[in-house]
Amino acid sequence: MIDGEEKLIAAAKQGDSASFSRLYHHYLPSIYRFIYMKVSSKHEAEDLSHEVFLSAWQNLPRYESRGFPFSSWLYKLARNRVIDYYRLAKPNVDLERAESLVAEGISVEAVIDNALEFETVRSALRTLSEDQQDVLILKFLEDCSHSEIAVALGKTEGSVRVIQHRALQQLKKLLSTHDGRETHPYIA
Amino acid sequence: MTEEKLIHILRSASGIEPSEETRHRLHRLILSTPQRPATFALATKAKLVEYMTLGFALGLASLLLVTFVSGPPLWQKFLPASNSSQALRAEVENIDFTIQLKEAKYYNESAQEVASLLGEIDHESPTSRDSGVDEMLEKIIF
Repeated sequence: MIDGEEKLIAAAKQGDSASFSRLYHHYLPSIYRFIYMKVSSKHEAEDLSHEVFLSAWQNLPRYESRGFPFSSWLYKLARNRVIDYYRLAKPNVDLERAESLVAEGISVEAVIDNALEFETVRSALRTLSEDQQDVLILKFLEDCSHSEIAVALGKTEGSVRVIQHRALQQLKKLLSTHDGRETHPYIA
Repeated sequence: MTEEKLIHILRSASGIEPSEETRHRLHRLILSTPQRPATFALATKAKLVEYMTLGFALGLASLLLVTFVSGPPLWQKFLPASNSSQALRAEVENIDFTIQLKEAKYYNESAQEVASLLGEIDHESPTSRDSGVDEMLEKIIF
């Protein structure tokens, strides 16, 4: 959350583009990552991120916080946009080359031992249910608390914990099933 | 793959960000689009109410116009006959009138019949009446 976020939101609601720009630059990486993990390419992630922030900008005058963080509203927009994306279009299942992932983030190389391994996990993640994907991404990529995730997804904290546990178990099962094969099934 | 390693890999993706070029390109595109006014929803509702009011007023005016142009008979079609005191009074008067005519006709006809019967009795001869009685007595006795 940015300092003085409420003032920025109030100003952006009045059409102040500078205030919206600050919100945009702060939240774009999170929303982009959230979407990127759920679609097959960075181009699609960019397009959908653009649509999410465009919708946010256009509808901001009617936004009401109601005590929830601004990010939860953005995550809801992103979530709905990804659902629409899968509903309306046949997504391209071809994965980008694993090497390209390294070039997308400065710290990726330092953290990931193997970009291919990451791509394997990301591909397996996309086979989980929408809720399971959202919980894992928000929890482990965005470091959101269970209460924040609950607000963003419209669920209780308890159910978020259950979804997280089942998602991890499912993911482990998916990845362990194919351990030892020369070519991983989730890699194109 | 252990759960720890899985979480470690997921966390490693937190460094993924759109490029600077993408970030600025999207920024420009978004801000070049006008915001929808906050009063958009309210304005839509107000328009709807305005249209509904106008439609209602026009409908009512049309109804009144048709009513006045067509005259009183139209009202009587929609109203029960009992609601009209004039119609009721006329109906009652007609009933009495009909009854009086029927009674007069009855009295007239019955008086004529009685008179004709009495006339017939007077014209009949006493012998013919006695012979009839004698015939009946003979049948009963024998």
